[in-house]
Amino acid sequence: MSIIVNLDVMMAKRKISLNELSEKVDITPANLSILKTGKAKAIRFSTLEALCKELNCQPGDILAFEN
Amino acid sequence: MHMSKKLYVYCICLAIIYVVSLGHGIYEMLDAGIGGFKLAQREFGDANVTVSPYQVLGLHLQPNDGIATFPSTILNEKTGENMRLEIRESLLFLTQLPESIPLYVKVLKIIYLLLTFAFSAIFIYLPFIIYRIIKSVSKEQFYHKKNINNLKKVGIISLFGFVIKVITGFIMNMEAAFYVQVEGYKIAFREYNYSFLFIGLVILVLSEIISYTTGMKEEVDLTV
Repeated sequence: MSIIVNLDVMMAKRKISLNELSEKVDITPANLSILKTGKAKAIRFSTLEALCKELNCQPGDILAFEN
Repeated sequence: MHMSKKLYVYCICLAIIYVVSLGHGIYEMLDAGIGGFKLAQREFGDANVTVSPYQVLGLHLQPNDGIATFPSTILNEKTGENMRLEIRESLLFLTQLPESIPLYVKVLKIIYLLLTFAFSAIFIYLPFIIYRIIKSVSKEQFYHKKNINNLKKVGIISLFGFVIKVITGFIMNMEAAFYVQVEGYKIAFREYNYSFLFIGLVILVLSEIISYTTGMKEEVDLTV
């Protein structure tokens, strides 16, 4: 897939663990792990919004397009 | 997880149908064996008689003048009337065989036997695949790739069964054309068993639909 998920980079920058973030954005750690490892097929706007809000970033910081 | 009630009923129906069809096949074979034995006793009961080779042909016959022209007759034992008769499905027993049988007829015979064995093997293998699918579904594993592959196998096997039936029908007719020319009838090819073709195609269509929905489900499952 040419859409790259940079969630792990943002989490490292914000020094936040997977469990902590999952609690704050109200997503199960399993689902967040799917997103983090790039296995996810789609992301809901509500999830993206919650992640951006919590990590204080833009959607482009989490998702990137690579040709 | 418990098997759903409907699935349980369908499984029982499938098992009953399979056992009945298998039982019917065995009964027919036994009946043919006993009949053949009685015939041999009647015809060749004397031990000194040399038994000549024979050939049994199962044929679809069609009257030369067209269907429903009733070219034969049969006695009605109740009224003594000679009723007009039309033979469609027949089993012919030949004892006067040509002295030399050409190679192509022998080859056809071997192919016929091999295909008949293949057809029997299919019918032994098919319930195992269906059992695997039912076992998987009973564990509520509806959208497994294994299920889809097994379903595709069932479809392909059904189509294969139809093709075997068509080929064996052709072979039997070609062989029969060498041995016999029935008065008032011609040997016709009629493959009535379209159920294999129909079921095979329906199952393949269903497997494609399930394959598509499995992809959709996977996408939904991986949407965060």
